[in-house]
Amino acid sequence: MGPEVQIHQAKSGLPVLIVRGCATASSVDPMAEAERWFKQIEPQVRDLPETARVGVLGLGSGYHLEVLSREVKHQIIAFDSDPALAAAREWFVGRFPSHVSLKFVSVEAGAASFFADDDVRTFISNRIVLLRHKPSFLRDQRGLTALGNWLTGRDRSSLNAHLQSRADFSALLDCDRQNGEWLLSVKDVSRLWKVEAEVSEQRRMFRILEELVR
Amino acid sequence: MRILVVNLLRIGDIISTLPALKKFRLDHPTAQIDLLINSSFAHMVGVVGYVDRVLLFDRDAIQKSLVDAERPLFEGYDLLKETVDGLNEQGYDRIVNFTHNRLSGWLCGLIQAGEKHGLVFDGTGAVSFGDPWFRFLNAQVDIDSGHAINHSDIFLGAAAGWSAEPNRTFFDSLLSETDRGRAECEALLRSALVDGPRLVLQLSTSDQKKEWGDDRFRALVHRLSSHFPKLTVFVLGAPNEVKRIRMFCEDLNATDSAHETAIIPAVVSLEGAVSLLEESDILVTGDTSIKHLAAAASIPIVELSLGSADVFRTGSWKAGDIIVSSKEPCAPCGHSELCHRASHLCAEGLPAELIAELVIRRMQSPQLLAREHREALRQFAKLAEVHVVDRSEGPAHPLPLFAELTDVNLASLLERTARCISVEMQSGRFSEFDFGSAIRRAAIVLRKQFFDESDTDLRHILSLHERELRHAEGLLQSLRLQIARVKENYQDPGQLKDVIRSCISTQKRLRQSAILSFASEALAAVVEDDRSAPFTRLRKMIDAIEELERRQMIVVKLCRGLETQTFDSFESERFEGNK
Repeated sequence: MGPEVQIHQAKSGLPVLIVRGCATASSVDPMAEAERWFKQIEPQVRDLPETARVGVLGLGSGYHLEVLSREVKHQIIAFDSDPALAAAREWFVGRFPSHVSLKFVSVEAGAASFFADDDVRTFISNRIVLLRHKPSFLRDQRGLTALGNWLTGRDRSSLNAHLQSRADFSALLDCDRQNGEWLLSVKDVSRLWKVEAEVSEQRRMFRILEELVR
Repeated sequence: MRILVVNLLRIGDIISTLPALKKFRLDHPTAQIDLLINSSFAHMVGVVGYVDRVLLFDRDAIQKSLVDAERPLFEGYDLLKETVDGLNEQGYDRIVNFTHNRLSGWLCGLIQAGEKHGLVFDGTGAVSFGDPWFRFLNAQVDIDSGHAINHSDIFLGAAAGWSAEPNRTFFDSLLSETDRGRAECEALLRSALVDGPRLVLQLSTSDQKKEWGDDRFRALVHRLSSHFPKLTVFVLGAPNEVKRIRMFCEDLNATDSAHETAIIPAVVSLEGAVSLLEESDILVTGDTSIKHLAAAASIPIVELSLGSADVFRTGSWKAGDIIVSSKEPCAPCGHSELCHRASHLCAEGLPAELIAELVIRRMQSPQLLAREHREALRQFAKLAEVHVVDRSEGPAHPLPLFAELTDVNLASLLERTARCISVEMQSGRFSEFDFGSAIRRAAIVLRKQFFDESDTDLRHILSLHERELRHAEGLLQSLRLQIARVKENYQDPGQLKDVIRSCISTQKRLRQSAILSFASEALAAVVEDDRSAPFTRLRKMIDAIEELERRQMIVVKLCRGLETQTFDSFESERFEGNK
């Protein structure tokens, strides 16, 4: 398990992981907490197309993943950046059905290594829905925030990775490219919604998106 | 056949398309007709008939995804692509876009179909309208309110045209009731007084400027209570208006114990509102979605058209309905403008006494245009504009209750008719043979409008009108000839300048006549356009003059035809109304 991780019993009788003295799920009834979390995020995951993938930030004690994988049959990838949880990975083994996979990511290793991962590249090139497991997120904000930004494409380094995975968008941008990287900042994202009208279908789609952000 | 109708606006706008949807269904009984609306109005599904499916455009989800930093970057795009791909899988033969905004234009451009009607942008951004009525809707933004055609009639015109004799029962009960709505209504009716009239009030509007004020509504109820024994008043509202409605009802009950009146809060769903309106005797409302629902139902309406509400474009469109508006010079004001007056003068100018009188008389009879009612209401002529919706010509025409026979009033009436006929001619649905019927219907409206005038006076003013029009005809012909000479040399700035000067001069001369000043509007748009390229500007001038000449020709024909009519022969067809 590792020195930083302990297991305590919640009042409902279920085990909860304690990392560096902080509970990763409710110490009263973690399963009920997971059900409540699912009710909150349910609108985001109902009626997803088959190719959509669901990303979850934060492993917590795994109960939210149990509920989610029961309700949602799409590919689910759960991420966490806490090395203490990576050391306790056996806690999670065998608990989830086959359409759930876990990714332990070190933010210190940087975005480049993150986006070099095949699963991650496939994940972001398809329709993704990103969910957050609140308790873990609050506990390890820095790491999970970085992960979240990388996965949503909302920081500079991840933006390029996303564009490399989505040929339909990169084809639209008439901006400088050096060594395979677009010179874009997050602010440049707004340019994506203001692309001048051309013949292509994608550009017409962007005109619609532009009307929606007016 | 598969038809997709697109309406991505609000409840009232969706209801306004019901007559067109009904026409599509009647003309294509076996077609698959789908309606695309914003998902935030999914609760309307139950009340919209004539369609096989109501599809939802998840505007909110896409917008949220675009602006929320925690959502994946391309999620909005992917959501939109799913929507477009899903619609394209349906294989539509025809798309009709009733939304008329840029978003819908781009969206309809992406959906594949053999025919497209309404505003559509193609891949190069070029716009098409597919039907002259949609082009008219686009141009109507520049038209004086009094000549504007109601949006629901523009949509029906695009669906079916207006050349045929209007079917009087076509507009009866366009809404569908649901079991849930009926159940909600029945629960309310249990508290209603037996054998008494039922009045529905809609207090709130989406815009403060359009509100009449709870105090004035209370004063209205006091007046009506003393007139109608066993009056039941349903105060309608949405769940977020519960507090206001309860306070209103409690105040009323506390201050009016002398009469046997039931004041009932009616916080219901849209479906419940539909059923309640069908079971009640009259509605008093501002410009609200409830007003539009009621226009599609059989209940008579007294509409308080305040703030930015537009009597002609978006007022009630049911025959017999009454629209009251202020005489304040700033009305109607702009949609997004704040009221700049010291107080809400347009609402203050409509006294409860007037509204009560209108309600009482409308409940007694649908024939508010009848002589006895007009005489009794004339005392209010200085305070407010009162219009009664008439459908003798086909499209809804709010006839002013107190209008006198003047050049301008006659010209205004004929101008509206001419605009409708002009659009129908461009659509190929109106021929020379249809003028007889159009003249007959115009004569009915003329008699309803100017009921007090003799046949002789009417014919005399029509002949004077025709003479003025002949003068304008000459002016326009000269202008047209001058433009024809310039056509080959439109790049020459000097020649173009001469043409503009001639347009300005013609415009000034037309403005000198009260009845020809409408024609000067079309020239104003061309004169003031200094951004278009010379060829485009010249093209716009030619189009404007062609349209003006067409309308002049139509009005001259109407005048000549009307001069030969015997107006008194329409006595028996004078008045109509639903209940």
